[in-house]
Amino acid sequence: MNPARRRRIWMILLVLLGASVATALALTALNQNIQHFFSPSDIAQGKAPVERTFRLGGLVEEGSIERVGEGLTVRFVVTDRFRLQPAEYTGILPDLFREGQSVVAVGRLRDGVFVADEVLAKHDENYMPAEVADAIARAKTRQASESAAAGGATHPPAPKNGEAPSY
Amino acid sequence: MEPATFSMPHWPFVAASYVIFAALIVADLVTTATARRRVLRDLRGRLTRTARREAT
Amino acid sequence: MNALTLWFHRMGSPPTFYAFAERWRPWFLWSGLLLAVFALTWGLFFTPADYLQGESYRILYIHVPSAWMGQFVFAVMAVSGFVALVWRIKLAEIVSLASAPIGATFTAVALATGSLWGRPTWGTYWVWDARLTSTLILLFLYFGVIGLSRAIEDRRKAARAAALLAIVGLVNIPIIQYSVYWWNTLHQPSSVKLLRGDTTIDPSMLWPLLLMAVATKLYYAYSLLSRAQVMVLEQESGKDWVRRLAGAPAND
Repeated sequence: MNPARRRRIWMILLVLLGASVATALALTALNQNIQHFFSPSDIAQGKAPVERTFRLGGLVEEGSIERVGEGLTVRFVVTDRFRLQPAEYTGILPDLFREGQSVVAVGRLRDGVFVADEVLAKHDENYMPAEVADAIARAKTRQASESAAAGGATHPPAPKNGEAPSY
Repeated sequence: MEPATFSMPHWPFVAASYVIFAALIVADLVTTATARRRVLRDLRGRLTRTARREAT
Repeated sequence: MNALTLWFHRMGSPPTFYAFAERWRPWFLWSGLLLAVFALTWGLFFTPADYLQGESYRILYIHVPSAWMGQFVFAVMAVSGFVALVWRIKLAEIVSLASAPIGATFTAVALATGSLWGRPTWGTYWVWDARLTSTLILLFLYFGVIGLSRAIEDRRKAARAAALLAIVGLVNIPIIQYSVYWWNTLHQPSSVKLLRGDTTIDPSMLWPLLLMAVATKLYYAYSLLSRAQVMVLEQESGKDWVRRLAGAPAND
């Protein structure tokens, strides 16, 4: 290959390398700011900016949703399968807000309870028709009752070691 | 008791998405189809003008 | 010289490229449009509703292929820009510049339809999470490439400057792709993982999506060839073959 072309290739690769390194450094430095929300574990470890408004994200714990009185206030528990974080919200919730589904809530901590001003539903990467979802749910219930009948443990499966909880 | 959730009809959002997509594709189609014709027409115009000037 | 390099050399001749584009352009256009109409009809009327999102998930058939195209076209733009910078091939410059508006269009569609999906699903049109923000940056990079190529008078210098921006902007592509794994985002991780084989979209909903991915690429081929033809005509406007094409008698 002629030397002028070789020089140009090296120059371009150098530019690309420089841009990549600069971007990687910037993203690493800003890592905390790029995180869209904090998990209950982050709060427990003191990583969340608890003195001001922040976003809390995680799954709505099964069986945790309760309405307070006759108003629009709802209490629920957000979990990342390691820690639990009680939360409270007054207002109309998004359609996809359900137990076992992910949420991202904006608000702040007050006496250990996360008081949300806004609740968004987070959707996961699963797309399926209702029949398929029903079939999966039935299979799970059957499995659970079978293992219960066999005297097996019925607690939900814990996340595998070192694996991030998938919400 | 179930918590209050907002339920909105989905079809306006679906319809708007498909319309936006169709509109932008049509816009691209019109741009690409007219651009070539315009360039050729301009070229023809320029060539005729030069030919006329040379003739006089 | 193998057949592929020979083909590239032949395409380096403007009249040959023009004739090639003229011949294949309509095929790409009509196959792309027909496939898109077929796939979208299938997606709108002949797939089941999602168990959780209901009907709004059908936006996916527009949103996901458009988002893929936004990134794919950017990669094509950067690679042809690289070829243009190193080998100074005019056709590579043209392919790089002609790709920008098409990629920008698809990225804009992805952002707009994503926003329309977000309202009924998440409860908001927009959030500043890593996936959405990096996709918006992609759109601005396209605008940067288009703007830069228009700001410089000399056509070939403009193409090279724009190519360099496209190559630097390539850094953003893995960020978009992996943003949902590297950081906490409101946007969900990818559903279609053909290579890893653990796609999380039910097969009954998947086919229209894959067909749309093909249809958008066919349309891109059409639009790219058309735009490249215009640029070739402008670049070669003094040549005899262009005069003949424009219907004027040749100079000799």
